[in-house]
Amino acid sequence: MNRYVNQSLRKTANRGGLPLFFMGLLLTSCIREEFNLNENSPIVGDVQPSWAVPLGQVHLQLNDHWDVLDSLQIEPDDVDGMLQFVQPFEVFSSAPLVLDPVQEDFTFDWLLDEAMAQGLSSFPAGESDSFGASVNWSWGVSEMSSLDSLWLSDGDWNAQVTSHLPMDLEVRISTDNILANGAPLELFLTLDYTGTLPVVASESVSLDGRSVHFLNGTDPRVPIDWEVEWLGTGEEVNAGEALEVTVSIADATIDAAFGAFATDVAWPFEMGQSIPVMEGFEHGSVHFADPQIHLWMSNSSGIPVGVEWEELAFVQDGITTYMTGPDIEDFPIIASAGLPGEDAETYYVIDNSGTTPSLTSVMDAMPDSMHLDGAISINPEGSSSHFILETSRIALEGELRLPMNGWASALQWNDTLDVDISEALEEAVQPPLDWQDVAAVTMRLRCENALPVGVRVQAIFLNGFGIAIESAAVNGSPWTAIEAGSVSNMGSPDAPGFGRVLNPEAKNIDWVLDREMAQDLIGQDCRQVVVLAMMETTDAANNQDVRFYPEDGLLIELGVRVDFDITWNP
Amino acid sequence: MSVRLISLKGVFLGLLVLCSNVFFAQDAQTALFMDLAQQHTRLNVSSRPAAGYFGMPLLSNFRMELGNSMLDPSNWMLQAPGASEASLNLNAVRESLSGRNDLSVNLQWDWLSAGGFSASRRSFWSVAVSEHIQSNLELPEDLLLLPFTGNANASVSGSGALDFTSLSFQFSHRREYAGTWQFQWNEKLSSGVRLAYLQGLSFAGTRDNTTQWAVNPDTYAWTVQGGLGLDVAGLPDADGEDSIEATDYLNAKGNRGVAADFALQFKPSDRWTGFVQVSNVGQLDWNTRAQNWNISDTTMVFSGVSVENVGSLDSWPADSLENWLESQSDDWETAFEIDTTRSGFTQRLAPKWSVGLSLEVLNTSHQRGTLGAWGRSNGTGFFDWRLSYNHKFNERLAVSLSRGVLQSRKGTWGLAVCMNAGPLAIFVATDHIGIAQGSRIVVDQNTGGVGVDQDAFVVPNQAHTMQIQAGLTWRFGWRNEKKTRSNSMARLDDSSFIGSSRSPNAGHEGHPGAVPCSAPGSWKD
Repeated sequence: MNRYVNQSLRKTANRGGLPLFFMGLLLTSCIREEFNLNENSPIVGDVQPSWAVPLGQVHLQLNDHWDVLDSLQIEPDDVDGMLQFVQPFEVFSSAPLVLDPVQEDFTFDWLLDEAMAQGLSSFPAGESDSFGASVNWSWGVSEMSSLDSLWLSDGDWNAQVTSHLPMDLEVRISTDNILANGAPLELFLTLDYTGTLPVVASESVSLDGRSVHFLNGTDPRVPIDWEVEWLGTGEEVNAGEALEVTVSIADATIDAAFGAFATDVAWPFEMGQSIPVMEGFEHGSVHFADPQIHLWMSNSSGIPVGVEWEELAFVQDGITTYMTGPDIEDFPIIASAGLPGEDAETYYVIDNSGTTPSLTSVMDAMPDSMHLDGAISINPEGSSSHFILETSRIALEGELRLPMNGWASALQWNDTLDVDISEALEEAVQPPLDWQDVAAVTMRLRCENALPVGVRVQAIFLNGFGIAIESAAVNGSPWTAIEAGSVSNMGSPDAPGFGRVLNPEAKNIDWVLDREMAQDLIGQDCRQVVVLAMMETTDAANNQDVRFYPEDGLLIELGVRVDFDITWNP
Repeated sequence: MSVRLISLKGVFLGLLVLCSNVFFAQDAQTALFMDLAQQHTRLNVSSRPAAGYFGMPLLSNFRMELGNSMLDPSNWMLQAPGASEASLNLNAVRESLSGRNDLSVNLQWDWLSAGGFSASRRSFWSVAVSEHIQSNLELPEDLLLLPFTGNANASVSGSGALDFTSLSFQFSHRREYAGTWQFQWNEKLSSGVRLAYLQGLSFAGTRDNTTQWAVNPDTYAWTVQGGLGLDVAGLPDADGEDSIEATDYLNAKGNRGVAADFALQFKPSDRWTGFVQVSNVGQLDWNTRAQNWNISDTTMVFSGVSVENVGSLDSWPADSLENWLESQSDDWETAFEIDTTRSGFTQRLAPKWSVGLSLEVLNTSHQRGTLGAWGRSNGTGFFDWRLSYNHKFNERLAVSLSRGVLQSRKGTWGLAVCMNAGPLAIFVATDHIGIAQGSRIVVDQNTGGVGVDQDAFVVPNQAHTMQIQAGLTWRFGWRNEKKTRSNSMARLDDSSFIGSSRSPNAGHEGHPGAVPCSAPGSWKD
């Protein structure tokens, strides 16, 4: 078999020239080219990678920052929650009237005529008898045209009896119109005759907690009852001798007075209030569509109180604008409390509809302060059945409310930052890369703005001599950093929701630092940058009113993209 | 800018070495219609070889293939004539990295193989014991091109996300015990089935990769979606086991599976033949030293520093940014935490279906020529195809020339030769004629003043697919063939057309002159 195999191999080899050729082609190594590489072998070609990195996001929703809003005196209103600037103020807070302590006295006597003197002279020694009578003590409160009763505290009720009669006396003085817990007031005085005349005795009782009930309110008087009991001594009593009784009230504080108050009582008030929110705004840059002055008047007395305006004015740089109009001229009477311990509230709003000039036009002038002068008049309509307590207060306080409903434009902020931009740019790109390899750096700002206000920014780069080199702007206009949200124009400006942001406005805004600009900034030794920021509400140029709500917010997402354009040349 | 190559040299040369020294095995498609070589039957199990055979142990079939759609160093460099050094052309690098990028290495050989006709000659039986080592590494185009595109290049933004889902690695080593039965139902129809018992030795492979990196075109926020699994079996334990005894490795018992190929061949006329095949149906269960690493599919978004309360900025401590970065790092580490288990797993084979068609265009008294067309898909988009011309000079020599595409890579020319030296059938084939054409890369390394060392590498010029298949078999029937050689060409019509499903005496049973046992390929030889 070996022989046959060998023969076959030989024949196959002879006939198999073609396959052997193919096999040779298949297996023979063929080095077609050679490349020499070393440490310095260059790279050629170009690449244009772009890298994008998110830097961060800021979510600003107004109602997440009540601490900030509070510090700015901004709060939601009670109707639909629209934000408003609130400047509180107090016009006055005092007692409507101050009633002086009672200082009253009343003297009456029992003067003996001939008959009475003879009777007493003949009165047996050791025997006793008595005599009584009643007198009216007329007194009142000067501010009251009619006095029904008083509640007193402190003070005393004093009684003094002076006797010129040569006998021992027991005197009782009482009244059913001065009560303490329902019990009438009474005093007992004892006069012991010792041979010397006159004999004087006095007593007093505290009036704290006692009430005085007058008869005939328009001519108030208090009935005083007195009774004398004597013990005969057998001595002669001359006609013309008298028994003198003096009663008085000293330093009695009036806790409450009931009756009717006079109409001729008045006192003035004056108030000035700065409006700091207006500071820094230029005339015409901010427009409030619906400013309001809200007034709360409280009265814990039973006396209606009138307010007579002398002046309701706003001042801007020394120029005073006086407000008139029905809202001021037809100012309501401060209602009285129905019962002691109650507090009557009177609420009143002054707005554009009742003022001349309108509050809006006055606010457009950016006033720096507000002034309120006038007078309080007691019981202006002359009604009756009033009361006043020692604790009674009337107060007038208010708020200047500037609902964030309106427009603002050209609100500017600027600053000059000392930053060596050239050095920063040079260090930002490290070897082996340089700015020639960077096509552009794009700062991407994506805002979903549900606020009806936008921001535009312009950066001006200055060299070491303060000369402008470049400006980061679009066609010379400030770069729009945040686009204002679109607002509703449905209905009238007074309609709810008018001027409110409908949907967040999502926009991408790019600021591009391209290669040429970067190289220019590096080459010209940029040392400073002036940043100018401008805020403007939606379509402020057309006086579009917008409204701010706590739910409004702003989502800012910041990213950076670097576009490289790298070319390797041998 | 002037960056020199030296900083990239280490990585570059490593890749060159890798692609210059590894091979991948796959049956040569060029030889699909070459029935003179028994090795062609794997691509069409319904086709029978021209003769029975006994494969020389270790030599009967050896297949290697390197698939490389990633590294093309000879096209990456430029060196002008007379220039002392070459330059690296980044534009060429970028171009070559576009599209699919993978390195696949496969090696296969038969320990033992034999086949022969049944007595009735309607069946052909064959058996083989073979070793399969396969590996594949695929790197995503978006990952390799990242230095060229960045994460926000316009081309990236247009596609929505950087897609890294194709990042995968797989290595498997298995042994197959296969038997094949081909049966001729009639003159027009024949079939074949190949069943294999699989013994797994080792496996490592990724799975369930969902990794993507999206950059929001509006905010530049990053959305990273990631999920990835890695299964390993048969290899040293990750917890400190350094090595496995070779005998333990080669006799691993716990990894078993089955695989099957099915094919039908139809010959509507004497000149036309067609077939359809489904192959690689089956699975392999890996249980020995199984280890699993898994990252659940998770999506994380990075949007930079988040400030919910602007007013709080003033009160931020100086190390806030550092703390924030640490917190972010912790969050991402937690989100993409690796879960480790020790569970056996199943490797499902990748079924493929293929169709083929041949047309006899030449038939003389001495020679025969056929045109062949073949296509294959794995159902996920790859479509391999090849057109060939097959020429049989006589019973001892056949040659095929082909042109086709493998795994959607660049087209290649293929060549196969099968010739007989007495009983020995020598078979050599490649689907890539330019396998041996290469470039020499010489790298000078400065040794620090002592001198210059030179390292030289030869890299293939056309590195997309490099493949070779060769075998040496003992062909049955060579004695009878010699005796009947004078008549052999006259019997070509009946015995051995290209890609025939017919046995050499098909159609002669029952005829007085039929001599089935004398035909080449008979077991009786």
